[in-house]
Amino acid sequence: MTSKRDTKTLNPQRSIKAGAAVVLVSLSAFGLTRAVAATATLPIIAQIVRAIKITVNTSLNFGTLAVTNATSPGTASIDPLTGKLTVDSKGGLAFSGGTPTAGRVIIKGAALPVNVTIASPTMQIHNGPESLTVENFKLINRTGGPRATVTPFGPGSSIAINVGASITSRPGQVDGVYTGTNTLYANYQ
Amino acid sequence: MAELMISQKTGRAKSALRTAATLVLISLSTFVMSLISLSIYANASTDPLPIEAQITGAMSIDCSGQEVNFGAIVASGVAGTITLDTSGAVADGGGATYVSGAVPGVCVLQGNVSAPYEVDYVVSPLTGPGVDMTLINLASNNANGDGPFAGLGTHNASLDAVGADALVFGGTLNVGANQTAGLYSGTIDVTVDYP
Repeated sequence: MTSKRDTKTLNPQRSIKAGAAVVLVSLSAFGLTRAVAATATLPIIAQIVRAIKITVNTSLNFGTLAVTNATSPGTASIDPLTGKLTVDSKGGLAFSGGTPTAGRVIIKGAALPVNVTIASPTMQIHNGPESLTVENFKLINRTGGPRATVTPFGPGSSIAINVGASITSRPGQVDGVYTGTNTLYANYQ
Repeated sequence: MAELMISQKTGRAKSALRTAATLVLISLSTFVMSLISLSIYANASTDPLPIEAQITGAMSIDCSGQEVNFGAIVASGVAGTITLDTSGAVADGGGATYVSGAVPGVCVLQGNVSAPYEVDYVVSPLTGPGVDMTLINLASNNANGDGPFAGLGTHNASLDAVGADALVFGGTLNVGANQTAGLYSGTIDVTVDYP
């Protein structure tokens, strides 16, 4: 009888232990969910590049042209790639000397695409009040136009661009030296 | 004498009654104790011990697919900023000019289906050939539509019906005056966890 009473007295303790075990299991389960955190490293990059610098290496020069017919216009063109001067067959102009040269600019920057643009596709060069029309600007080669996209390269990260154009005289064009300037823009694409 | 006898008889009867009552009480007590014993014994032998365990899928994160790339930037004599939105839109300000190539960073998450989670960030500065550049105003968003999330701190989001999500990152990069040209790199440590 005494033994049974002892047994009865122990049962509540077992219940307490059992309850504690349940609590521990629950805490253990909670601990499992907290143990699954994950970390990864996301890289960040940025590239600082130098600004584009454009400099004129050679001026566009049509040389010396003679007005051969006072009543006819004439057109002379410079190939940007070869620098060769070509005069049309209208008879108004003829090459008479000098050293015709294509224009040439140097672009320095990062090895990224650069858009190059002629500011005025058609413009005038002047000799006092007199003027001549310069048009059909071509960048790089004679199939090019007034816009081009190039990418500097090499150790100096630079590239040269040649410039050609056409000049047209009017009948009775006054003799003299005609000069003018045009602008080229260069921007990263 | 007769009275005495009667008295004696009466005394015996009382004694007998007491004895009988005592026996009844002992019997009842034993019966009750037996019931108690049986009852407690029954509880001890059949009480089940509940054991529960929830097995959860570990969260995983992979940030190796696409870094945060602020692209090519031209610095000047004036300090500036480049702001990369999580949508990929770029805005430059001050003396810094954005050129090209910016892409938001992406981290891919996996875990329990439709589970909520928390995400924390730790950002380090970008180091390179010149003065360190700092990333400020960290911007992040997630594919499941809980964002956008502004800045550092803990943000809450949820995995989708297949236990997936993607975090997208941008921010604002401070570019110093005359920042030396070259490649700069830093990191964002991204930690995800179930709440």
